[in-house]
Amino acid sequence: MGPVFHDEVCLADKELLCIGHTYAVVAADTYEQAYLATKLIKLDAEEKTPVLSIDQAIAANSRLQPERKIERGEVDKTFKQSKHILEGQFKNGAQEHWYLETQSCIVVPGEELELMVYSSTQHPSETQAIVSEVMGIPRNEITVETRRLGGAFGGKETSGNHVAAWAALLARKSGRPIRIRLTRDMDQAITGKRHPFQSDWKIAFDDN
Amino acid sequence: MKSYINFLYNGEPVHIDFEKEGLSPTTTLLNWSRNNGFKEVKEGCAEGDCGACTVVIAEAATDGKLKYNAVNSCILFLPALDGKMVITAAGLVPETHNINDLHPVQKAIVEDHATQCGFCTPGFVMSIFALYHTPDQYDDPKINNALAGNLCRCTGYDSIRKATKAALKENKEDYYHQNEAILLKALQEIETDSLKIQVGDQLYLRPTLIDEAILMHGEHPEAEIINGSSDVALKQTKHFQRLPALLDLSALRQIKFFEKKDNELHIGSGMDLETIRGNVESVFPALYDILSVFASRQIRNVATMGGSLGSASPIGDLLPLIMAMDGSIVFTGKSGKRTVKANEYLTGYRETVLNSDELIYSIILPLPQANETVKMYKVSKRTDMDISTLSAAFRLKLSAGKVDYIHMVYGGMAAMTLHAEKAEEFLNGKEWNEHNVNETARILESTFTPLSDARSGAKFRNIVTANLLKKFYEDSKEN
Repeated sequence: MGPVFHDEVCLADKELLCIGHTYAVVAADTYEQAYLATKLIKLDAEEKTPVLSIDQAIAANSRLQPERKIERGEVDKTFKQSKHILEGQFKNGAQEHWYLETQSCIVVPGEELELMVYSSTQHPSETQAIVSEVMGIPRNEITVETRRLGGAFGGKETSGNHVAAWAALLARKSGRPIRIRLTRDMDQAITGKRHPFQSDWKIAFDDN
Repeated sequence: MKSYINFLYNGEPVHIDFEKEGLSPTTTLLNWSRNNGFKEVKEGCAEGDCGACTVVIAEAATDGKLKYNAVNSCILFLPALDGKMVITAAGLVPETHNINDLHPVQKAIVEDHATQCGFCTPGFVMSIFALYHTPDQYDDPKINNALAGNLCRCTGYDSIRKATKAALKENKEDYYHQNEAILLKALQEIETDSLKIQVGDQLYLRPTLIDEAILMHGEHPEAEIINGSSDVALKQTKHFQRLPALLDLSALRQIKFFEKKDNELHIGSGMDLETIRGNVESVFPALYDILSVFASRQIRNVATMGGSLGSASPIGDLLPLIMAMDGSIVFTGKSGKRTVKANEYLTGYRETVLNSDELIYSIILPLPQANETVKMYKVSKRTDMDISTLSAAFRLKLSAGKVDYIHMVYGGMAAMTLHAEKAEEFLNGKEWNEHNVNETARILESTFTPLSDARSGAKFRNIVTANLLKKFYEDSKEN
């Protein structure tokens, strides 16, 4: 699943890529019960060398997407002929949207395959498409309703989809309405958000 | 001794018998509110940082009037409400769709477009409502300070500040003004007593007398001591720990005092920081300044000086100043009271000379003298509502341009708050000038071996340690 590139898994099965990469979801009557139940999950996994910075990622050729270049003018020629050349690098840190209301979703199972999804999403039709894909049911079985969001700033365009898909899975499995509301800490750990950027720049100019 | 509490919630009486209902005594006011249909109380962080859960607690003050305090309901345990009144945004006026029927604070929020997504709004409304009932000359800095504990991600705050001013200007009587006598009477009729609540494996003690507190502390040394619970509650709300035993000192009137005696302040350990702040603006500006950036209004309304010292944090914002002033801490226990110097209080990382059967009773804080310069600085990533990266308190006395004595006490630079002794000794007797200050700054850069953590690196901390002395030097010239 994913907004543009469908490169995210609903729940990790083979590889855990980061802290907050979700591999199991638990339903219970109270939040505390659910939290305590997650502490009983035993994870059988082997550790790999983590890639924690952009420089490490470049060295390990672990790229999200191909390198991108923005060029203007006759680049090669101008760099050869110009009197002055400046170059450098700038880095943008990662950003978190910090909507006051964390990602939330309620899924109520209806007749047969039907699912009623109340999601704090900025993109209800995409949430419908993702839940449909994950559940393997046609989109017309899924109704997505969005109430007023408690802030989003773009942070609920795609990140709400995971929560909706998990709630749908648990609702189908239990046959009961499921509500997921992430705690602030979980929200920050789980949702990817604006990742950091690193840009190298080079500019050529003459005396004029 | 009882195991139940009574309070008013938006004017309605509430009775909770924890043992009968099997309700955990560490249920937070936020969770209880939401579970009982009061959905206007929001959770944004569950750690007293964002203010979305802000409600107002009103109680009879010593002047016989109702005092309205904004607090974070997400980190307040229910037993602290015994005999008090809780007000939420829904309790300001009955549900209405007519803007003219709204409370002046709510009306101003609507008219000045001070709400967008609306999630933070009920919290802001309650912070402003508390101001509405606390008459003062409100300018921008005062409004900013009062709202520093409320985060909004949509508006950019200007419209909220504008609405606050409009509401405070309006200042017409609301339901709570009109019904003050009735509400006071209803509160007075609530019989309050010491609490002992045992539910399952949890014990919650809330004595009303200091002797009783000492006794309970002796019987249950395992009980964690709380007052405003603004620190300890996070163990539960953030880490889902089940707190097995708590000794809540928030009902002890005997430790809620603030007295100015000669050239000293005598401050009860249970006195809330916001009241202290309100009392020291003119007599002790350095204390006023540090308290103004100590957490937020909501936290200061419940947090106490005893709690700040009791947690013995190496980055506590008050101890550096108390140490620089050579203040004292009074302990009380079975064998009576004893006084220790604040400078001898800490013995290591979160370790103190407080015996296991003692409680902190009060703090004695000498006031700055006319010929002294006293300042305290806090360095943090955010100005408001942040934990110090490091902090420093300075106290200087000059005689004929020379340093008679200087105290420099740093927090956040070691496992405990410390004097920069070498630097202090170096400056003693020397001319108070730029050259000597720069020499001392060099000593300060290598005085401590601080940690690198999420807040900052060791190198930054060392540089800032030195720079704060330079800042103090510049500031001292203004006096």
